[in-house]
Amino acid sequence: MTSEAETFTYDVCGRSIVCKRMKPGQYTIMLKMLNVFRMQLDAAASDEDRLKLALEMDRKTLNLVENQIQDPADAAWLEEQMLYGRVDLEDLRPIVFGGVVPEPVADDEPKKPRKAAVKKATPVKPRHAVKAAGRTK
Amino acid sequence: MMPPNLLAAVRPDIVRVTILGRSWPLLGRTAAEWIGGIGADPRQLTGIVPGMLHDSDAADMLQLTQERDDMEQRWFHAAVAAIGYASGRDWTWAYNLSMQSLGGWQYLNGILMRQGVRHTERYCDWLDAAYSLMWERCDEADRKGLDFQLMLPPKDLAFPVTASHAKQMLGAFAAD
Repeated sequence: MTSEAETFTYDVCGRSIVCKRMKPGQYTIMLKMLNVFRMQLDAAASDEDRLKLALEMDRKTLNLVENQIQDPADAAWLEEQMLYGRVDLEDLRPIVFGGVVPEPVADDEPKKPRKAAVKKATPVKPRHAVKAAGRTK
Repeated sequence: MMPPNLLAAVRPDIVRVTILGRSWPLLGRTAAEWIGGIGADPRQLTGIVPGMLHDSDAADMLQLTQERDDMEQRWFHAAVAAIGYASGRDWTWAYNLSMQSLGGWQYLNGILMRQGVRHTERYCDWLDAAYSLMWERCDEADRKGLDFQLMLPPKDLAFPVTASHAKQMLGAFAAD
């Protein structure tokens, strides 16, 4: 029986689904697997190969998601919603991240620093105070 | 005269663990990798297994985690065995020395680097160097204390490791 800390609730199409949180080791393996797929995608010779790899990646992600859903009835309901086109894999991907939607970052854009958080964390001395500290008496 | 491959047998370059009847090679080679792997998760050793698994083995291992509930325990015991195998020593000794090294890393690594021993050396060789440095700088009483500390069973591990279990794992490696 899983404890509360090991589960979380994820809302999709008005239904609350109880999911098992991925263990750290499982998360490590998942990242390794995704790394392999990314490398294979980069090395793929044709669009057809890339499509096959992308479908394989989606299939494995879907397997992961299904494995995390605690109640089989929820899994069956979700499958039905996907068949009817009401839910797709992008809606379910956050489940593998504990229900948190990861911030999208484009590959060619550097991540913008969160200025508000940086300002709060590191108070900056005014320049004149720094200069004064450097002056010798 | 020592057989030519004796040390290689007890301190292999490539460490493999056996999980569910299959042999999985681990990526770790250098002291930094092994000590870093232990330090990443000292309680459950996930930095060793599955952290050091090859990326190409990840899909198969993930499949196993979905089929079985006991993979975390299997990973842990495989990691314990791997530490023993990579260090060529009792895993407790290697684990404790690695954790002590992490605690005083800048001092220990700094001295060793000045003596030409880098953290990119093999794990077993770096541990030998670190231990000999510590031992050299101790007096008689402290040496006994150091050895005693290194042989103490680690606390707060995720799963228990019994002496018979450790023997069994080493036996399995010898068979491999």
